[in-house]
Amino acid sequence: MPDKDPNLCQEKAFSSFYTEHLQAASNFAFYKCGDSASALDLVQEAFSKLWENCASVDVLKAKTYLFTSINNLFLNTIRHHKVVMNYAKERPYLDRDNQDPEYLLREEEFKSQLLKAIDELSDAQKEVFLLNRIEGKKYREIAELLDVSQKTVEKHMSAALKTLRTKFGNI
Amino acid sequence: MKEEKYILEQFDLGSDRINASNVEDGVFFEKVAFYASQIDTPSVDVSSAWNDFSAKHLKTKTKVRTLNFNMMYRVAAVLVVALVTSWFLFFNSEQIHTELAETKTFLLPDQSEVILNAHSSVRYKKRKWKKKRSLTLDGEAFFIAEKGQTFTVLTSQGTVEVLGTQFNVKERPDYFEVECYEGRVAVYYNNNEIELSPGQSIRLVNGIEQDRIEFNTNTPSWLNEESSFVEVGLNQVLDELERQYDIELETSTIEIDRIFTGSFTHTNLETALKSITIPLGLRYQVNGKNVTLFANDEH
Repeated sequence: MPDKDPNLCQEKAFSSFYTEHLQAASNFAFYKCGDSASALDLVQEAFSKLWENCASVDVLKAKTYLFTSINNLFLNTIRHHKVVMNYAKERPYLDRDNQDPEYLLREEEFKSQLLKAIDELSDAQKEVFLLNRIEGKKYREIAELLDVSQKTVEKHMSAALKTLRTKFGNI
Repeated sequence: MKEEKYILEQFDLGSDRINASNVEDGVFFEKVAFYASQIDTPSVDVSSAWNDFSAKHLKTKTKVRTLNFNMMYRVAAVLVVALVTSWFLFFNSEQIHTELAETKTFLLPDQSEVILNAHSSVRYKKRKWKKKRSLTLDGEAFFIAEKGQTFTVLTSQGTVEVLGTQFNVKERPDYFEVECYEGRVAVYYNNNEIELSPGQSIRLVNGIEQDRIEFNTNTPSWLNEESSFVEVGLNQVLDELERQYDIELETSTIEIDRIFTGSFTHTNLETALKSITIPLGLRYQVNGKNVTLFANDEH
């Protein structure tokens, strides 16, 4: 019975659900509040909500429930911190063969402007854009996660790209 | 809409950007896609986060569980109390009970006499009787208490206390009556205390005291196989008739909140029915144990 229908009220099942989704959830929270400490706080609180309501939440919907909780908790509590994002170290440039210092400088410039531009996107656009880019999630997966239609996700995504293009067009 | 689609298409071309319809856009989106995916996210130490979480949040759940244990203790305690009470009720106490249309006379350990009317019961503790003369009555009974310590009759609607005397207690649904035939009787109900002298009685209907009625008989009428009433609601009279004859009355077509003064015998149902129906202008029909009462003008 527990194998067929894993109930999140069992500590073992909940623990494995927690382990499986913690990183993704914390990333998601990070895209929103831009601060790793408060991101983790948000995630812990969302997990605690899920644990309290474990009996009434459908196991298949638990992930969506978790992300929706993070979203709501974010809107209720933290609201609009500046996202402090950085690039992972030691990552190559787009053109690996080009080591021309001028090129490298231009790319660094582009990267820092990109961060700034992303940060200025609306919450919804940023969220979709980062989930797609960093997590490599498909629009359909993002739609499932946020419990919205794929059309909405695509709309946010294209709006985000349009904003970015406009911003860079001025440079 | 078209632009949206175009943008997404350009962006999603991946390494195929060479096919981009606009070379400039293609290069730009490739750069965005490439560098944006290099953005770092703080990695979380899963096991320490889990320890933190389970310490903070799972503990509260455990607390709930201890509460459940408390619940079980409570249930167990209630069961124990119920068992002990029932042990005292069933093993330690004496119970005398009458069926419908039946009366019983019996003596208490101190030779006090109890006459129990139909469909009534008396409960008392045999062993403790010498220390405490106290019994519980459900229904109607006549008591001849021997002289001695306080003699107490407990009912759900009031308590009667005497020293040594003769008195009748009638406790029926929504009806409570005490008649004193000898000595003095104290009646307690709803924080009120009333003392009765011989020939006095008190009546409560739905817990409300009715006008006092004096009487001049030496014993309750039911001891002489007759029930008599002075200004009593017809429903009480008919309830008594059902108890004395073990019958079912059908009264849906008549008014049962009328007042009745009179009596009926316990020995003959036809006579009893007549003594109730004729003064009130009613008719009756007997069909085995079922008796229907209806108004005279109905046909």
